[in-house]
Parts: sequence; structure tokens; C-alpha cells
Amino acid sequence: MSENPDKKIINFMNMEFLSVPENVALSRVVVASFAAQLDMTLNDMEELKVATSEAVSNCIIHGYNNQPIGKVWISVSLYSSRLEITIKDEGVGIEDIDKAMEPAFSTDPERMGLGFVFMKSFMDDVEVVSEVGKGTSVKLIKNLPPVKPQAGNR
Amino acid sequence: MATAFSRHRMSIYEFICENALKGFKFALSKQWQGIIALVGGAQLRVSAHLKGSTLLVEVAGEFDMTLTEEFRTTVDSYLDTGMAKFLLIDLSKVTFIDSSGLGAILGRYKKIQGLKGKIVLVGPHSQVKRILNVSGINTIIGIYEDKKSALNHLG
Ligand SMILES: Nc1ncnc2c1ncn2[C@@H]1O[C@H](COP(=O)(O)OP(=O)(O)OP(=O)(O)O)[C@@H](O)[C@H]1O
Ligand SMILES: [Mg+2]
Repeated sequence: MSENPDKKIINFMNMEFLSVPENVALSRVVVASFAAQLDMTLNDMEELKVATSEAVSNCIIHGYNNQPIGKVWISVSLYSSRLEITIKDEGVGIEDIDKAMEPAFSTDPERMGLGFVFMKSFMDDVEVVSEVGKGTSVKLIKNLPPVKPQAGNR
Repeated sequence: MATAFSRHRMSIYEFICENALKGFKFALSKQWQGIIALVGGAQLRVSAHLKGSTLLVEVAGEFDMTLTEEFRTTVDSYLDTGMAKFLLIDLSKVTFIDSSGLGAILGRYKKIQGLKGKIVLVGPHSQVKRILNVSGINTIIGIYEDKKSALNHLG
């Protein structure tokens, strides 16, 4: 697991909600709104929304087996060189994380195993911590371009 | 205006209704739209109509896990009863899609393969199209800009 070298926090946000499908849209809109303070392209914003949607959907679908029985936590932290989004549940947990992250792997025959594919292709890093019976935490990391010096200040 | 009529082959009635609705929605503040969306009911998110053995389905809004159930039951009610074996999915009103939406589409694709039918996607916005491409679904299901060329492909 990579240590964040960049300790200086610029902004953060936490939210907690019940594992119901309607909250997937809520969470991706909140994360995108938080990210809107950055100098992001429309594409980046869209990718962030998809990655968040995937992680939160997984908490509800797999972690809590599609039941409105548990809590999902999201924390977003902005550092000068990166944005970190952590999505956590206290659901069933993942037995084999490496396997779960393989493209097209799913424990549900109706699903495609695309969630982690999207998270990995749209974010710079995806870190998963999970314990069976305890829950899962997924950290999505987006590196931010260094802030350019303002033209007028030269 | 004249082109809008001929291109979509709309009836005057449909044209007036659609534009009246557009105007109405525009007049609503964002906040009220949100409240109406929360109350639900006002928005039809999956609509379908049959044309021969082709089912035309229009999905509107965010195609995530809140919509998959409705999409599946609507489409399957036609496929499972043998009423349709060709499927045209109009995505032009979809503003967001994730793996849940893609999974629901792919599930119908598999079903239609069993029926020896065909399936096409129509009119995704550029953002939605990017997601379709990243998923690779574009390599197995044809994506068309407009309904006419999609229907031509269905034959
Ligand atoms: N929060 C979670 N709790 C428990 N299991 C999880 C969690 N997230 C992912 N998994 C496991 O990892 C597998 C792969 O996840 P991924 O999102 O890539 O695919 P999927 O959810 O099965 O399918 P799709 O995302 O295409 O709908 C899941 O099938 C599930 O077994
Ligand atoms: Mg998933």
C-alpha cells in the first residue's frame, strides 16, 4: 500500500448513508460537486462519477447483499497533488481481493465484473482493504497536475 | 421546425406535446425538478413499444442500479412471451451509465442471442459512448447515431 507523501490537506468531506440504491446517485453527485472546486475537465468529472458509482454500488449489491441494512461511508480528501476518495462498508467482505479485481470476474452470474475495471481505468490508483465478515474499504486516488504559477505573477 | 418533423416523422400532436413538455420543464426551477424527481411518478424512465417483432425501448435518465430492474422486467415481458426478438435500445436520453446499466443491456443481448434475434443501441451521448467503449460492449453490439440506420441494421 502506497503511503501518501503529500500530507498537507487542503479540504475534506465525509458522508454516511444507508445502503439503498437511491444513494448511489447521491454519492456520485456529492463527490463530483466536491471535485468541481478543482480544475478538472468534464471527462475527468464523468470518470470520477463512474468510479464512485461502481464502488458504492458494490457496497450495496455485494457488501450488504442488496438489502437496506447497513451503512456506507465516503470520505473525500484533497491534498495539493492528489484527490482521495475512500468508500467503506461493514458488509460481507471479499475473500480473494486479487481475484475480485480481475477484469470480468464476478461472484454474481448476472453481472459483468466491470466495476473494478472502470475504477482502475479511470483512477490513477485503487487500493482495496477487506476482511470477510468485517467489511471492505476501497480507496480511489486521482493524481492532480501541479499548480501552474499564475502568468501575472512573473 | 420542418426538418424536425420530417427527420423524426412525428405527428403534429406528438411534436406539440414534446415541445410543450420541454417548455414546462425549462420553466421549472432546478430545485422543483429535484423534488419532482424525488417524489417520482412524473418521469417515465423506461418506455417501450412494439413495431412488428421489434421492441423499441427508450431509457431516460441515469442508467444505474436504480433503473436496471425496471428495464429488465419491461424488456423481458416482451422477449419471454415471444412478442419480440429484435431490440432497439434508444440511449439518447441517458445522461449517465455504469456497470449496472451495461450489465442489464448485456443480459438482454444474451437472451436475444438465444432467440436468434438482434439488438442495437441508438444515439448515446459522447460521455455515455465513452463508457460503452471502455467496457468493450461496442465490439459485440452495434451502436448507431440515429434510429433509421439502427432499424435498417435490424432488417
Ligand atoms: N464492497 C464489496 N463487498 C463484498 N464484495 C465485493 C465488494 N466489492 C466488490 N466485491 C466482489 O468483487 C467482485 C468484483 O467486483 P466488480 O465491481 O468488478 O464486479 P461486479 O460488481 O460483480 O459486476 P459489475 O460491477 O460489472 O456489475 C464482485 O463480484 C464481488 O464478489
Ligand atoms: Mg460492481
